[in-house]
Amino acid sequence: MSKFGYILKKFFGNIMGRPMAALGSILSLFLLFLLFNLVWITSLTVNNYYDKVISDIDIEVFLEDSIPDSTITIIRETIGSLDGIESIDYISRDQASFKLKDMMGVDLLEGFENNPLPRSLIISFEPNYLNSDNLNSLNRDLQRMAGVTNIYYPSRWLVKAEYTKLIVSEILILLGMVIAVAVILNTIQFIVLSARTRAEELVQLQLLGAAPGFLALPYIFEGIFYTVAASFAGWIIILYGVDLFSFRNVDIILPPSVEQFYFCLGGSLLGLIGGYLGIKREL
Amino acid sequence: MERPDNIIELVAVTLTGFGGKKIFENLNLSLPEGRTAVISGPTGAGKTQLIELIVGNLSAETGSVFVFGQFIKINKYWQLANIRKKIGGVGGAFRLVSYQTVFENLLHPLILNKKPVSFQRNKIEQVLNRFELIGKRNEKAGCLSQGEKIETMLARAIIADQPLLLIDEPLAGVDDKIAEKIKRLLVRLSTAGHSMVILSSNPDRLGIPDALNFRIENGGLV
Repeated sequence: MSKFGYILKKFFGNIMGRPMAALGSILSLFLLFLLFNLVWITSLTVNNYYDKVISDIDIEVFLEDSIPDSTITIIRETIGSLDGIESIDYISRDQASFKLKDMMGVDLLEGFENNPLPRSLIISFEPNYLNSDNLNSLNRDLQRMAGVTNIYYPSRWLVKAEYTKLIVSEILILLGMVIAVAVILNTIQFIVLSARTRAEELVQLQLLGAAPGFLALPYIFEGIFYTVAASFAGWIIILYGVDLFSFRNVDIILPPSVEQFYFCLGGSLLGLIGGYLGIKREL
Repeated sequence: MERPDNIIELVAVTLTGFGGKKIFENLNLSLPEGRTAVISGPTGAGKTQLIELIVGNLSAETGSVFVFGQFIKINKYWQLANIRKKIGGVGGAFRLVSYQTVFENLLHPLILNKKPVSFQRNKIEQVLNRFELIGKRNEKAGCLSQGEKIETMLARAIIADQPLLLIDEPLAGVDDKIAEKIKRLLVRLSTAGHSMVILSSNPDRLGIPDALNFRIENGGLV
């Protein structure tokens, strides 16, 4: 038997020789990865929901009654030259009145001699520009413009939505770190237990001249196997679950396949670290 | 640091055991290549610790240990591994892996010394025949008698042509018939030019010709 053959034999032997322990190890790690996957998907879904809602946000700029159309054109051009502006629509008094009627179902201005509604500009933005900092900055610029009386956009709501998105992302990062540490610690324990079942052999092989790397490799492979199997199983269950349950009002967003692959690769790295630290304690 | 003259050389070694008891004080030992040293001493004199020093399981507090001309440093794992590959051990720290078969136990040195796969099986068969253990080939080491264990360890100690053998109490716990067989094997190995260190509390029973006889007394060798 070659050295590599021996390493492979011991790697498979460690797993097949203790199938229940191997299964228990994979299941424990699987639950950790599943938890992370759920929070990851929640984060992506919240982000997607946030992006959808925020894409509808626009700023309405109300104009003074007295300014002539030529000034309005200048204001439009000035705003149009700013960063992040996708389009500017001019709303005349008549259009505003029509919109109000359409919105309320009745003509609330029936008793008025003249249409009291102001003229306005509705500014919509490029998707990557939409955040509270940019809109606040634009708000300040617009307020300084002559001919502008009032500006409206859902600033408080936007701040709350951004905060929620941030909290979900931070939870994901924090949970990711906790889970990474938990996966490493669990893998260390599994590998320590695995190594102790072969302690006699390890001691003798060391005395017979086995190098630490030769002795460690089957356990490092074992650690990688546990975490890859667990992370892979985590995704299988998620994909199956999403397919099984239909959520009518919420689009569940899954990470792209390449990110799922990187996730499993990250899992294998944790397994490598856990496997190495576990066997290092025993040699 | 290298000392190429002797296969083992211990220079002014000091070692303290548990409770501050001095095991070795200024201990010196030289074993030229191809010679056998029989080291005796009462139980607890430090015979086993001597082997542990040679294989790098223990570190001397002062003094130096050279094996195959190389200075033994306990934390130089790769160097230790290369030295240990050339050592065959019987007894003391050297044991058989009880849950593996005789065949598997004999396979270890061959794998570690990178002997070709085609060579391994033939060599094991050959050595098992030589030690009259062929019938025990697939038996778990834990099921062997004490005599068979010692014979299997001896087989393992020479199977990869290891140039140095460290043997701790080879006749302990075996009946006269088996002891006679082991003695014959040791004499054959000694006359074949293997370098050996044999630790025994009863060296007269061994009767190795031309052996260098030492006794551990007061922490040194006399």
